Amino acid sequence: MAGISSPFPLSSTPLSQNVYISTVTNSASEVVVAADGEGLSIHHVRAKSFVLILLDCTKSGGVIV
Amino acid sequence: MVSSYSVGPDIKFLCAPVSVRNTHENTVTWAFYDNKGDLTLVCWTQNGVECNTHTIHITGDKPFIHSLLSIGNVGESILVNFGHARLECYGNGETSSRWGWDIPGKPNSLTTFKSSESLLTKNIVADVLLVLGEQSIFYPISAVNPPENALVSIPLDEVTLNSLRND
Repeated sequence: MAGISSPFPLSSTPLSQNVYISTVTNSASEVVVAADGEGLSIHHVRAKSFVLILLDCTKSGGVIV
Repeated sequence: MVSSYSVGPDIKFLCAPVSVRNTHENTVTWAFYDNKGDLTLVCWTQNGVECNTHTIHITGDKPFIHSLLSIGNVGESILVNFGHARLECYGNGETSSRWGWDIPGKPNSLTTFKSSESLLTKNIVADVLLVLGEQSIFYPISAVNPPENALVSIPLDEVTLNSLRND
């Protein structure tokens, strides 16, 4: 399992070679994640200033804590 | 996780997705990926438990994909930024681009925003394309026609230019 952290504001910057993340327009608490070999997923985020994303690339989607 | 869409095991995303939440149940998400050399733009619409997808295959010689830029309010169309050199507009449910535009100059960055979000552009009713190069150039933009005349052009100072070059 790969751990990836990113300070807000989120942008178009790839978090790693295989993962992109951006905010969802018109939502203050959601992000959309694109992960190679997996697909797209929309997640709630629980903190405005910081998000820790744990992506398990063997499973669909990911987990945001 | 709110919702997810599995694209396939062998795909490689080429840029960050763009997602718009229209209602509590409706979200429209665009993404661009490479499936074994086949460049594909996908529009994923999640409406409650219903899911619809539309794919557009991108053909022809293209510079690398740099980013997707939102346009409009509901996600029914998207701008594809090919290496800061060419901008193309695609619509959900369509098979080819609505328009293409060779970006003048050699910009360092492109972005779109609502005209109401800037004092410089608040008096027009349109989305705005900001092209950042030697100058910052603001164009009104729509999903129907490519940009034509700039609203305003402002020279950038060296500090700003160096900051952009370091991005």
